[in-house]
Amino acid sequence: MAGTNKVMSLKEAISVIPDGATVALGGFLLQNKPMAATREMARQRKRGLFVICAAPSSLDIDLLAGAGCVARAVVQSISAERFGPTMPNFRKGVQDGTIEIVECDQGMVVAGLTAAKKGVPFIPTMAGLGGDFPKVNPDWFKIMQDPFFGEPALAVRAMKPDFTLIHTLLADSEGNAQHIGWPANDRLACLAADRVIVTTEEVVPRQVVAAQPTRTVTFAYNVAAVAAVPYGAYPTACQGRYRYDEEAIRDYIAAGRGLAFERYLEKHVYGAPTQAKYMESIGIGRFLKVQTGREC
Amino acid sequence: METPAYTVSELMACVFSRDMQDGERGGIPGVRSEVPLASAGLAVRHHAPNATIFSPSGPVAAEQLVMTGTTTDYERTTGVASMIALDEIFDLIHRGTFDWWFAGGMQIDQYGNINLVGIGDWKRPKLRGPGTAGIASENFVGRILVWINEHSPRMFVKKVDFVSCAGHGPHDRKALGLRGGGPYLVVSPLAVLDFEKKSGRMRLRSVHPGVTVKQVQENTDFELIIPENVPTTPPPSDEEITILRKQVDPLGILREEELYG
Repeated sequence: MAGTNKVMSLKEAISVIPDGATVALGGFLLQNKPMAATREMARQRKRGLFVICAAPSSLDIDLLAGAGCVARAVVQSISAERFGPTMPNFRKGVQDGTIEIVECDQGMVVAGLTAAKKGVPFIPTMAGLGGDFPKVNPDWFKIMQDPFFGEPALAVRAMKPDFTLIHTLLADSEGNAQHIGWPANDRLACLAADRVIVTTEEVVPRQVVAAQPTRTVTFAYNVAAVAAVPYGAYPTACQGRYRYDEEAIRDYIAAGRGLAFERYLEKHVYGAPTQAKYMESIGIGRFLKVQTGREC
Repeated sequence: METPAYTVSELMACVFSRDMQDGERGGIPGVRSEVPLASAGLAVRHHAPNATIFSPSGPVAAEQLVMTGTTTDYERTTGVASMIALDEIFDLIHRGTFDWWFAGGMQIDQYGNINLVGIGDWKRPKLRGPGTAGIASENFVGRILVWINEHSPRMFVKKVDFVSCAGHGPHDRKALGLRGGGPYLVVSPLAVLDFEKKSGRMRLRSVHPGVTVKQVQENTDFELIIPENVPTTPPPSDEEITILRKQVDPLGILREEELYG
């Protein structure tokens, strides 16, 4: 309903996600990742999630993997750029066989989400042709012949998220959410989903988002919740507000590589039940530094 | 003329830059893309001012081809005249917009098949890699420029454990529906390689200064096509190094390694 106020706490927003849900993650690699939302999912001990990485992902899916939330995942690239070529918990989950993979090229993820957006069961794409994808995931990908000219194409099954989680700079109380930087795949991930959960740096009056409507990446009709979570993308960047924290990313990866990850979760996730407690567990100076570029 | 000392990453950036022609449309990926970004930044300042360079977020102006931390940093999405969503950039790639695009790899075989998925059995890999990223889409661009960070028998393998991006064989590219030119240039810390047209097999084009042909073959798990005369990769020129360090990589990200020359 137009004008509905969907602002609620992060805890309430995430509580609607049931175990086993299909959850798409927005952002791109180290930009605009819904980190506070993934920490809350870990706190609520979600289990058996089918995670769709709408774009290359990093600490978001890795934290979910390390907290035991992930059963299956649509992935194209999981890394932390030059800070880490792979992510420790996700890698371990795949190697141990506890996480099942739908192996993709980004173009195939785009196709799967586009099919869901359009309400068609599959979509043909050029992405992935020549690769081993249909061999390992025949339930998701098939080589097909173009019915008109007979050329090969790759049929990608619709990938429909029950929920898409995104983190933005701004949103109004109804769920019109905006980036000022690059939206990456957030708009498509929101259009493909049944419901969208928005975390945002700041809830603003409607006229603020209405001043620049082309920046809006959500369509309020399917936004289920808006949670104001300052620094909600930290330690990844929120474009236009703060950079990623290189040191925190390296610390995270180091914790994940050893036996220290349970301690990391205890300190920064389970033992820090709110965003305020999380920020205290990291230290306020770090947040000021990623925002201003200097020690404050 | 005395050549300045340089790192292998700087040399790799120069090699790729020299392959980029003025007026071409090319793309730098969003993941692990230090060398690609540097080479494009060098090319547009050195000899290709009219090249159109895309990152995953859209066309990037020359002044934004400066290394910050990562390719998709906010610096490359501010002050742009247009921005593209991730789904649309793949539309452009698939319909044949680009002359070249970059691909990285954790394994590459003699035909240029590239693997970014993992080592060992796919279901229970010995080592899970980052994933394919966008390189399976690149068989619809003119030339795939491949950068490999380590030249060893475990990277240059007889057969890749997973095909992320198809190379020149043993399959028939046309039958697979691949309309692009496929892997074109492979640059490693030891050498520059390309592919023989007839056989589709990898060929040694040049060895980097101080590297021998024997060394390259010993660090490659398959037999390379080795021409009678293998030249040395020209080291970075003074001009190239100056542009790289002053304008493209002021933070010295490419210099976080050993100096040569």
